Amino acid sequence: MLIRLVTLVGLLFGVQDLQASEWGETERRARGQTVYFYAWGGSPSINQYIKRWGAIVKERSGVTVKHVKVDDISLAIQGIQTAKRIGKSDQGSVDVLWINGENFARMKRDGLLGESFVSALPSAKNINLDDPTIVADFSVTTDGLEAPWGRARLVFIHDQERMSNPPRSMQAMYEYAKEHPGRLTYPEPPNFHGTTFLKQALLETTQHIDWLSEPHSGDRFDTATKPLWEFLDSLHPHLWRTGQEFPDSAEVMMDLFSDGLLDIALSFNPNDASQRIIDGRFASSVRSYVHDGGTIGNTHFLAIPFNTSARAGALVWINLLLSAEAQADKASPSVWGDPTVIDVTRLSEEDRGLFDSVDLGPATLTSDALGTPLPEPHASWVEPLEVAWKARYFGQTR
Amino acid sequence: MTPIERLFALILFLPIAGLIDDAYGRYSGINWIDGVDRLMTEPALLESILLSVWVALSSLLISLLVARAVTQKVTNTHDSPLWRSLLLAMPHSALALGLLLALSAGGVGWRWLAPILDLPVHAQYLFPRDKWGLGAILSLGIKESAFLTATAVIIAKRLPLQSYRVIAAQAGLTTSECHYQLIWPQILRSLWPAVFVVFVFSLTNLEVSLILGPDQPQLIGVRLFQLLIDPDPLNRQAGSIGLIILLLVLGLIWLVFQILNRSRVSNKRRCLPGINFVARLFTISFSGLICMAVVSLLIWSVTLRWDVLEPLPVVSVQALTSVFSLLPPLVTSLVIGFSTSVIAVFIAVGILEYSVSRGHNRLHWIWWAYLWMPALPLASGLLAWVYFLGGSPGVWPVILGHTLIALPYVMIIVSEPWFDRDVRHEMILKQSSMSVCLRLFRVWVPRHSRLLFLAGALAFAVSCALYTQTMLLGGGRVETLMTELIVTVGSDRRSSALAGFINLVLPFTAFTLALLINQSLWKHRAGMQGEGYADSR
Repeated sequence: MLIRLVTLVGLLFGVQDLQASEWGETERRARGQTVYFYAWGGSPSINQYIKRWGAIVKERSGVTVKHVKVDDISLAIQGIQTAKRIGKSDQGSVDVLWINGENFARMKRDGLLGESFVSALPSAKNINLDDPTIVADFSVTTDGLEAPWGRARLVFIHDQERMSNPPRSMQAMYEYAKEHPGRLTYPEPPNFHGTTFLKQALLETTQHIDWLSEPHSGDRFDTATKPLWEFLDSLHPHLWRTGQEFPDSAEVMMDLFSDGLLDIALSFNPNDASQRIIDGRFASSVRSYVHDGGTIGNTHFLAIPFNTSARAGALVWINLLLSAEAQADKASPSVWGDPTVIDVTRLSEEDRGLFDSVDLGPATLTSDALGTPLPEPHASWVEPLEVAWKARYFGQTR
Repeated sequence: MTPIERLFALILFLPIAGLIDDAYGRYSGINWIDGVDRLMTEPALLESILLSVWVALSSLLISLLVARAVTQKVTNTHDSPLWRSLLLAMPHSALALGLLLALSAGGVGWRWLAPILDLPVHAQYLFPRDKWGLGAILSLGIKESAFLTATAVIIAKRLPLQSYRVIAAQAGLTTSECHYQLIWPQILRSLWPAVFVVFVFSLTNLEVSLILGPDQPQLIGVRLFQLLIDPDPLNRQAGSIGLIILLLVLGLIWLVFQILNRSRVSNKRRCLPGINFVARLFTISFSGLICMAVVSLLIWSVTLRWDVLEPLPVVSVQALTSVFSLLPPLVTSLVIGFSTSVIAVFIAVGILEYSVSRGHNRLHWIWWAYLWMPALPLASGLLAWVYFLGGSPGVWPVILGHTLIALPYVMIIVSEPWFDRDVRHEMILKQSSMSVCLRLFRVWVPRHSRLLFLAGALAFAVSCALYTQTMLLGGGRVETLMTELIVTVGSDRRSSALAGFINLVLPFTAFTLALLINQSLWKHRAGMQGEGYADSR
């Protein structure tokens, strides 16, 4: 028994040594590499964060990170797909991608992602890889093909001086819109936030919530979404511009809200309102809230394409972004305000202190107030939902 | 066609071949019929097409109207005001963003005008959405009037204007009647290629319609662009088929343009009543809108927040510190723009001199064809050329692509005066012992230097305004002020306003510098002073 125990401990240390030496080899290979990081570039604070940590990884590991700012990651995925099509399996132009669940599902299906890598990252030990929002992205299992980077949670934003008691359900939103015509709206699907609003409305109206976690099928889709369309049909006439027109994005909606033209905005970042108060874009009386039945929450991820030309550098870069230091910095609303994916209970006291010292700002909800997130519907529901919305409401105003 | 023109025709052919290949489904393995079916299932496709044609025709008519009125003024007064060059330099996207920030629901213009006009400040109109495409028409109208005017003035300079005026005076026509009945029809005859450029650009442009909309449905150019960049091969095939159909339709329209041009040989010249007044109204409104757009860009660059009920925004000069984050794209824009203008001017001078030596006196249609080609297939085709030549996306392909787009503009501006050089001067120089190179750099380049500098500044402005080409040929890795602007439009109002403002100022600076450098360059050469140095003859 004792011999077995000694052998087991020895093996465990051996594995750890092996992992450490493998990571050392990765770091050695990464030195001098240039990593092209394709990520949405529409937010100056996010760009600034990436730039700052890019300088840090250069200093610490000799990896040069170039942030390729994109407004639509599809263009980068198309490039990877073309490379796959013509059989070019290395020297790709994209090394790391910041993707959403829909694009992950597509990349995984088409074999555009490389080998599983998350468990090989030293920083991954602080992340609960069994967390349901990390195990699956839009109900598609991640299988270590993408690393969690931050948490997203649908929150609604209101100005308590203009609206003291915001509507905390879709039904209440409808009642509010009827009383205050033209003061509510949502971004136009297939914009990411617009589609999220649709999914939230679907979760709150459907009688078949259990179907949503399974792959989509035609009959079920019609039955499950019927109440959603009835709800939207009745809501739209009371929306901004009588629901015949919608803002392009959540950011445009935020501008309309900030200008006083809308009473409610929405965001997928629970710290967004605090961040905007800090940098002066929102009045100090702005607050966040969620619906009583909960709101959709998920995790956003980083992936490495199959044909990266700097895999080692990409791993080192992602590992740094998942470190307690980088995650705590990211969580601060004065920096970015993106909630961490780290399970802080796994951290040392010193590292935990980094998170404790983060001031979340006046408009950020506590985790109790946020409650348990509602799971995203399966990725296969997204496109039919968007297509159905488009077919029903697109161009009807002409 | 000279060998050089054949080479450029070949470069232009590849995008079309690539499109046909994609549409046929050689790579995707999908039958082209499926691609057509997919295209036909696009919702509100017909509405998109009709809206695009409406935007293109309206912009074209307004531009022609303004160009006709301004050309009359310029040819009568012989002045060549700086503002015209500056307007030509203004990037489409920066102007579009300025208009958006001025005229949108919470825009500067609306906030200030609503109380004066006693309109409800909460009223929502035009942007976002703009279902009639009025914003795009305004933006395109302003920019394309400047382009058509510049081209029309160059054409007018070749006409015996004095003779026309004498004949008109003898026939009892007023100055205005002389312009509209004698001069303008002659200008229009040579202006058709430029008119077609304006029509194609207005029909297929991406940047303006991405910023100003309309977007429910979007214009056909944007719809096809979105299909072409979609990861789904069926969607890409549908996009390629759509673009081929578009190119075929444009070819047909070109034939109609030609027939219309020929049919203009008529004794009847009808002048619609009030048309001059309308043209003047547009010219004045455009001036006001440009000022409002520039002011809006400046204001939003420093605005933190601004409630519609407040007359003034909460501003912070500290917001301007974000200008430092724009330094790298600014430097890249400068490097690419400067390289583009130098290379384009050198190539243009070389080609024109070669053409003169071959006895040509007209610009070949292939140069116009580059401007008729929609941006997306042209950029995709150039990328295919880069791969074909063993390269990969990066800064050099971007410079190459920008040069190919800017070169036709330089050729158009410089060619007429270059071809029009005095034959007697040429003979005198040929009889001297001066070599061809010496004649070129000692005499012809200095004689046209002002025009060459302006053409270089225009090439710089064109480079500053290119987005699709930069994105595709740079593999997304080349960051310019333009890519920065497009990425931040619709996400961060302050950053995009700042990027737009700098993008606007940069070509203005280039034009001013070009004129100043030209002046200082020849200050010690007596023969180049005053009216003695002409940029045209």
